[in-house]
Amino acid sequence: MSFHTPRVAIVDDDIAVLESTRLLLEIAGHHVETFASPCDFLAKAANDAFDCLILDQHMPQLTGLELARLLRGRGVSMPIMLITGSLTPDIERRASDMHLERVVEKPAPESVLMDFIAAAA
Amino acid sequence: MTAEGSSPADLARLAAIVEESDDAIIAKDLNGIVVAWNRAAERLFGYAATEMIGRPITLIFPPELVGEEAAILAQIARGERIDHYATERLCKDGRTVRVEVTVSPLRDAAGKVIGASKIVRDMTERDARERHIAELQAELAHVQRLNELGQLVSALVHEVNQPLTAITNYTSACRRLTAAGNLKGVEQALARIEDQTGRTRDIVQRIRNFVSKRQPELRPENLCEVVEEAIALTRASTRDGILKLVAQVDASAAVLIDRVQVQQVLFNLLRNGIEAMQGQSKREITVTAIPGDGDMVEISVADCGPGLPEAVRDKLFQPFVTTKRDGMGVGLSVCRTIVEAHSGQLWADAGDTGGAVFRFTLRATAEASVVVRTV
Repeated sequence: MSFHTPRVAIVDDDIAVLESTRLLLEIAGHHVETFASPCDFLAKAANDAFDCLILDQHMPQLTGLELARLLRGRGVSMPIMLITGSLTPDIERRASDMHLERVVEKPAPESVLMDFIAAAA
Repeated sequence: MTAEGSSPADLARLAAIVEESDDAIIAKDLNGIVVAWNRAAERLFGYAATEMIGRPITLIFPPELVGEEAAILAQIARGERIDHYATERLCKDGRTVRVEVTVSPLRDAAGKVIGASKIVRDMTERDARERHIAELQAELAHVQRLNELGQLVSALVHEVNQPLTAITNYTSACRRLTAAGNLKGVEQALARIEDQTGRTRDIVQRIRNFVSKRQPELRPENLCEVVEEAIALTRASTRDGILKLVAQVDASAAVLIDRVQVQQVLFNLLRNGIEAMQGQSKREITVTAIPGDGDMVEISVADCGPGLPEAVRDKLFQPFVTTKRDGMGVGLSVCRTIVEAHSGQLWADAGDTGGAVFRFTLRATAEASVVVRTV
């Protein structure tokens, strides 16, 4: 583990989810950047400048898994946590095929978020 | 049993038939004393013929049904027959069996009633079969309900999860802010929690309005509002950013309807349209209302999907007919039932631009302010 402030990216199309996660993680001392859509993330932050990515599965245009596949395809290897409203066996299988570090059901408890970031930093 | 005037060969054949019958065949005299007891009776009740012959038939009657015997004997003594009488009997091992009994008078050569023959059919198997069918039917109905509700519920669960996630995060933030003594921060976070609980309450209220099972109540309603709400509900149940749902309804149009039921119809038709357009780049549904025949209003729900072949269109409204891989095919038949309960009609049409159009009629109110009346 390094001692720099972890840089966390969050992609979620729900503003309330996005802002509340940002507030919580910032209070915990992390550097957070939020993206309201996968396209927004791809346009602004596709380069590997983050320690980890927290990703919502259910988004219009591109799902969380689809964005993750794109990123992995580009060689982006940062740890990714996928958060989904309904954790189906299919999602679990696809996430494990893509070597996503963590898949959790919504709402993800604080400890799960913090442990994931701590392990990634 | 005696059969005067029959040859010994006839009697032997008769005895064999009785012995080999799958139904229990018992004969008794007018005092209710058993005089014949075939093999099926042995199997059914567990008593050997040697145990029963010469003893009262009431041995196989459950105590609370012993009274039946007097009535049976009285009827037999009058020369009457008792057909397919469903009752219960007691086996040697104490089990009760459900049986169907036919009792006929036995006569001597002079035609005088001297006893009764009883054919006893074990109903246990048929009962079990009927119970099994009833269970299957109940299960099927349950699956249908689950299927219809399941789609709605999973969509709404997703909706509720969003504010729940935000509330979870803000609560964790509050705890940390409290520990740090940042009361101003706590207050801000609490305000956000309030916003999100409000959002949750709205969703719950919407579910409640939608699924509440109340008696159909016809009231004058603003059609435009009803359509807008159904569209909002449908939109909330999809995560499709490209989908366009358009309402072209006169703001003053008033109809006499059960609001919840008609919204259920609209919700169903909109969901069908969305599913039909899956995978297309253009996804648009237009809901239009125009004056129909007499005092009816005609509402159409037009999608830009692949449309419906005429052969399918005619069968669409039958239960269990579906063009969907996962559908149970009950949605449209429920829709039609609802529309017909409103004295309207529901049918499918080809759209001008190739998609499918579902049209249904509702009764307009003369005035938006008309007093509630029942049709």
